Amino acid sequence: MTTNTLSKIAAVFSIAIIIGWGIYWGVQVQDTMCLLEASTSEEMPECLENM
Amino acid sequence: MDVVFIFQWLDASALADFTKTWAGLFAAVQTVHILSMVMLCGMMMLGDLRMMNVILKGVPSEPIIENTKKWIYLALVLIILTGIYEASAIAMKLAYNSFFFAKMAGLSMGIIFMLSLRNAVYLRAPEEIGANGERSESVPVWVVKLVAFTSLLIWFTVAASGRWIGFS
Amino acid sequence: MLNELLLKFATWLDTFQASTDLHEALYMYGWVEGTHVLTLTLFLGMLLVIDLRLLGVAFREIPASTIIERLDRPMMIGFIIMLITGVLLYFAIPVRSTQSIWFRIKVVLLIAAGINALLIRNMTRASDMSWDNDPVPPKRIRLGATLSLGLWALVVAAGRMMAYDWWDCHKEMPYFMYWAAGCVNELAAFE
Repeated sequence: MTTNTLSKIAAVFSIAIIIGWGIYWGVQVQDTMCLLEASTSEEMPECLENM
Repeated sequence: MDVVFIFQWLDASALADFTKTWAGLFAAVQTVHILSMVMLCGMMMLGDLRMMNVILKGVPSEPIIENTKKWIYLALVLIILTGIYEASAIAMKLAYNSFFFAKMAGLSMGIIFMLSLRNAVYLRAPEEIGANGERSESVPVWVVKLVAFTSLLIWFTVAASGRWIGFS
Repeated sequence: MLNELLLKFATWLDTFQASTDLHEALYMYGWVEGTHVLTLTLFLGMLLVIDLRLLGVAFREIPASTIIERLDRPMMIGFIIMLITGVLLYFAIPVRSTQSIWFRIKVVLLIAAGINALLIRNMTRASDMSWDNDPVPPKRIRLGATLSLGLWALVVAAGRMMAYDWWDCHKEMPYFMYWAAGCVNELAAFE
């Protein structure tokens, strides 16, 4: 494989992985914040229904 | 695809009987699992941070990457063996644990990524990142750094999801 | 005497609302504990690289002083994060930790590892570093590196064991174990 092709493949796959895991972690953090809210407030927060 | 049968099989295995009987040994295996994780992630981080020019800047990168490989492979073998041992004790809990599947996805992806793109790109790193300058062409600096960041992200995911299995 | 003082201190910490909050906030506690464990990869990972070089089994092409000096900062960043999160974890569960045999072993091992680290540093500074480029450093340096790896592995093991309640004070144990764990009340019941 030429260095040029390798660079392109590496860049595309890296960006795809970063976006993929980025979305995964985004959802995890959102869920955690929601659970934090649920544990501190009296009422059930709306976000619990979407989890 | 339903994979629950794999966990049922593991849960019913002689290994599961054994792991559940010896609590002290189980805790010792957990420690080996953690220490192997330290070896794997430590060596991985050393290479990735070097390629991002964050640590050991100016030190030739090739010997660094070359040295980390053998320890990474050793750590992976230990992690998988101790991991199967640990999994057998709580197989049915893991079968329905989303963090366990995230961890396995991350682990597979990390291994494939390392063997294919990470190794190849690091071998063809430019002079600016400490590779020797004999090659006529090299991978651009930003691609090398992107690959390093991706590698860090994948292994962080594996370690963090692993820790979170215990809390969920 | 010392056990009574330690327990008094732990009980005093336990009266803080923040201590109870941190312990009971499942997710916050998990984040602190997760950070503590994940930072191991940075702190112990860099220490492993340094010690393997001092043992002469890896990174032999790179001068020992380069590895020691350049990896010191990332390692210490990891250590400081571990220290802060570790103190928070103790603060969240002060009484049980104080009376945990594993926590006591861990503290003793930490002190031993710290002294060992100082000795290694003094040895490398005192030597003229004539071995800097040697693939395998002198014997006393290798001995220090072996001790370092062994001690830190045991620190991790003791930390892992803290999660188990086999030898907590409320368990039925021999006198020696109550003494070692500093179970003040259980010891008094013995007398």
